[in-house]
Amino acid sequence: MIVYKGKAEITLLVNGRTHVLWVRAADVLLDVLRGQLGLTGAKPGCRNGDCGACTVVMDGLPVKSCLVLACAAEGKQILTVEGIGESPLAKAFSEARAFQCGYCTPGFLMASLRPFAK
Amino acid sequence: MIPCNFDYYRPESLQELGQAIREAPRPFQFLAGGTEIVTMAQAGEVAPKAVIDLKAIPACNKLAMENGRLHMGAALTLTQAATSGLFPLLGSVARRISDHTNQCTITLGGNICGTIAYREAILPLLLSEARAGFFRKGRVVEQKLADCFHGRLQREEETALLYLCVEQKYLSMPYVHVKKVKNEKIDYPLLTLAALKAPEGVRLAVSGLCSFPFLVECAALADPSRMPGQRAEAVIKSLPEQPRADSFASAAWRAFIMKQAVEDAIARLEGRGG
Repeated sequence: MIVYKGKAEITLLVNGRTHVLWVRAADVLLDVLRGQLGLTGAKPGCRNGDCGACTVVMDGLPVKSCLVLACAAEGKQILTVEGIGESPLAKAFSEARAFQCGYCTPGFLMASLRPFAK
Repeated sequence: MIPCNFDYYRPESLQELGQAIREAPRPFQFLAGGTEIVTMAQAGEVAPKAVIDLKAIPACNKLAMENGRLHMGAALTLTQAATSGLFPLLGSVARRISDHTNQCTITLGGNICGTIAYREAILPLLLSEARAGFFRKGRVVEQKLADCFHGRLQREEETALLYLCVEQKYLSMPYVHVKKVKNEKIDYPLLTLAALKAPEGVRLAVSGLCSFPFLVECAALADPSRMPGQRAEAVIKSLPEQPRADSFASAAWRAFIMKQAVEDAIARLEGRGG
């Protein structure tokens, strides 16, 4: 059984790289990605699971990182917008100028990455 | 960020779950998808001393046919329930709860046990006479879901919902699922209606109409000698409470769309006109 009290050392696999981090059990994934790993592509918007600006892909499926506890993301493969680089999807967004201010565009990209099975 | 601190337990078996329940500081909360707990904790509405993450317990993740029953772990996400194709009515309902991204996080157990009043995932389970498995005082106890769901799941303190089971015969019964919303496709329901054509007649379960989801109890509903419109009227008269009135819709409007939806569901399931 995993037990984390106070601050604990966890391991996150992000964009293909393993990171050992100290987090509070109450830290959400969004804040850990941005604050400790410098991956600021995922954005805080509503912080309520509504806007999608914080969307990342976890084990192949999009999730709102503002609603995921960092320690609950251990053992998962996490992909952020920084990890898709010059993908065809990102190029298509760029070429079509498919953004306005661009703040939540990373969320659009990550939510669009995998078509949902019908 | 969540302003309070709490301990985090992630048991990997029922034995460890019992250990976590014994050891966790009080008050603690069970965590599945976590969408509700994290949202409420960030807003300062809850401040547990510990959370017990159920997602690593095999019984909470099982999705399999066993002994003529579909066993669904309470930690299965709505996406998993939908994409499995094993229970089409549940899949149809799950695909209209929140949005596609949240469906990858929200769990069956979380939706049923949550504080948000709609709890739409319960509707197919009530219709199919599902049974619920609980972890209570160190033991797994199973009971009929309808016996412990009265608007909300009635659980003793420190009791975890582990799984739900549905008999195979219900999985292939004809069904209708309708969700009426005011504005966007992704929205809280004015009305979510799920209907099943069982051998003894049409069954209905409803969310959004009243302050809690419920199984319609109306003898006239299953009477094929009556026209759908008459049966819909009888259903309206049998509601457990008056339809809700809020900024989205009046009680009269909700009653109107309910009547239309019931009439349409009966007609579709019985292959007849209104």
